[in-house]
Amino acid sequence: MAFSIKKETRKPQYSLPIVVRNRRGKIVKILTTAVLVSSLSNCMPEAGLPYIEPVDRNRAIEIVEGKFKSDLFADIVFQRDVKLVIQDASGDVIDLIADGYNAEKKIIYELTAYYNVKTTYYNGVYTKNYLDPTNDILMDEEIDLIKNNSFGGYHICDIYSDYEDTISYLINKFIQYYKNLDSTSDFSVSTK
Amino acid sequence: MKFVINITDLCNLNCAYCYRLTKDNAKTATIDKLKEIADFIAKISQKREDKNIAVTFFGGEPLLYPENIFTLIDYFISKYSEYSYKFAINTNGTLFSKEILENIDKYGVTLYLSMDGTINAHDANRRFYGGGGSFDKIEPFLSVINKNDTYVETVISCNNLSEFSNSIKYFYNLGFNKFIASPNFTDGWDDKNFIILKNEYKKLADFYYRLQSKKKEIYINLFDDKLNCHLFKWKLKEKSCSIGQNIFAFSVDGLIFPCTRFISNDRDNEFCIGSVENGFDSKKLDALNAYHTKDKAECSDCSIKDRCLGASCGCVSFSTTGRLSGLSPFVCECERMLTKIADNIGEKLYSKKR
Repeated sequence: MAFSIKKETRKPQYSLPIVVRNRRGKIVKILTTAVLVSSLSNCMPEAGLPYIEPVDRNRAIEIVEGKFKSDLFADIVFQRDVKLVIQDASGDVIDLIADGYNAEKKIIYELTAYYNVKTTYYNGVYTKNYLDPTNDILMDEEIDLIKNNSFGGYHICDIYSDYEDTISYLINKFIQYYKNLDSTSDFSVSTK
Repeated sequence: MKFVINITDLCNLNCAYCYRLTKDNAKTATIDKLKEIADFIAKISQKREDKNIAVTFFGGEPLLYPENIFTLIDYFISKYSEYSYKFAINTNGTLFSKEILENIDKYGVTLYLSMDGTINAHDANRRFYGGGGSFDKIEPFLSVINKNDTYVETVISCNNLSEFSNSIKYFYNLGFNKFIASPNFTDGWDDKNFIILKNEYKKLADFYYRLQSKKKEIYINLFDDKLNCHLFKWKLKEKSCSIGQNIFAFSVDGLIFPCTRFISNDRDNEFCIGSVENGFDSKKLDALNAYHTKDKAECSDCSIKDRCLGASCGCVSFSTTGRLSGLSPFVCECERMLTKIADNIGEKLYSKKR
């Protein structure tokens, strides 16, 4: 990638919550999170464990495939680590090793939160080995090509989180998309 | 006003990404020179009618000379008692002792602890001159450091970036909750590393959102600074970079520089803006002020310029391009990517639907 200087045009769509007062003028709703007071000023910490731990790759696969079975196709089977080169009508290409692939339904899921970089240090020299075949992840440009979970006739779900509830959220969103596919399209499906 | 005092140019570590310009000509400040610097700081604070003095002790590794630090703190407090002080130490954490930690607590000193994460991430770059990793030297102290007043400073490099989000989680689990992280912008970044960095930011964003939505207190500069600048219409340049205006850094010889990255022992260095003996070079100070008055040409009309390090941080511009007016394409790319991730958090936390 040649890094480049570009002007950003995107504008964020959020703002401070409005202070809401009741009839007596008492504040009943104010800013909701600690972020507003912590940055660039003194912040009194409240140490503690995160309330939930991330899950490992095997557990993520269990969650994803479990959701497919419970909400979409009870008998669906996914092949693991399948090398695919997908091209769409305009010639754009996505080249990936799918973490999960079902050829019949053309469904792919990719766990982009899990990858590995191994660094070894010996005698003053660092050696990097990364992105081995089973840890292949979608490239940034490839993710941009996937519009609404779809590319080149395939249905692709990018699971970018390693937290159970975010994984569930993403897979639910994908299943919703899949269920809403136009039944007259080339890729029509019958869902459970 | 904010001041940085280089206690020594010496360091007991030989970190792979160290940017010290004083490495080959390392010196240590005498206690007399440190007192001269303190007198100068009091003088300019008085002149500017500023009753708040924030001093960060820097290096090299300042805890190589802890007695100089605490003697100087005593000197400030006793001789210039009319000021309010906030002291901080930037340290690699390898030289802590019971006595040092007691003094840190006694004087309410903030710690900026340079640690890159779990043992693998940390030891990848933060090594002793003999080649051994430094993690094991610091680890025993992590449980006893006062977490209320410690910022963990993490450098993300190409050779440890896949550990980044886990590293922050590791520190959080130990009780730390204030983090200042930055990529080593001068490392050899390529497209694959950039994608991994983006994924690490996304994973950390997920973790951060989770804590924020549970009202846990956490500060991660990467997200908080971007969010707050948008929410409060702040300009990052005004909030965090005040080179030549509200922050001055002193070399061991009492030379004055705009910020930490610029410190050198060379009086003829173009960024040397004065000395404690002769005061400020007004022409150079004026030139620095110009930095604050206009945007870089490449940044005008950019929607994130007021919260972008490339547009706002003099140290980043200097270290990546050698110029204050320079803009590195990698920094620009990185900041656009990070700001988008921060805005995704903002949209979840502050969208009107909530």
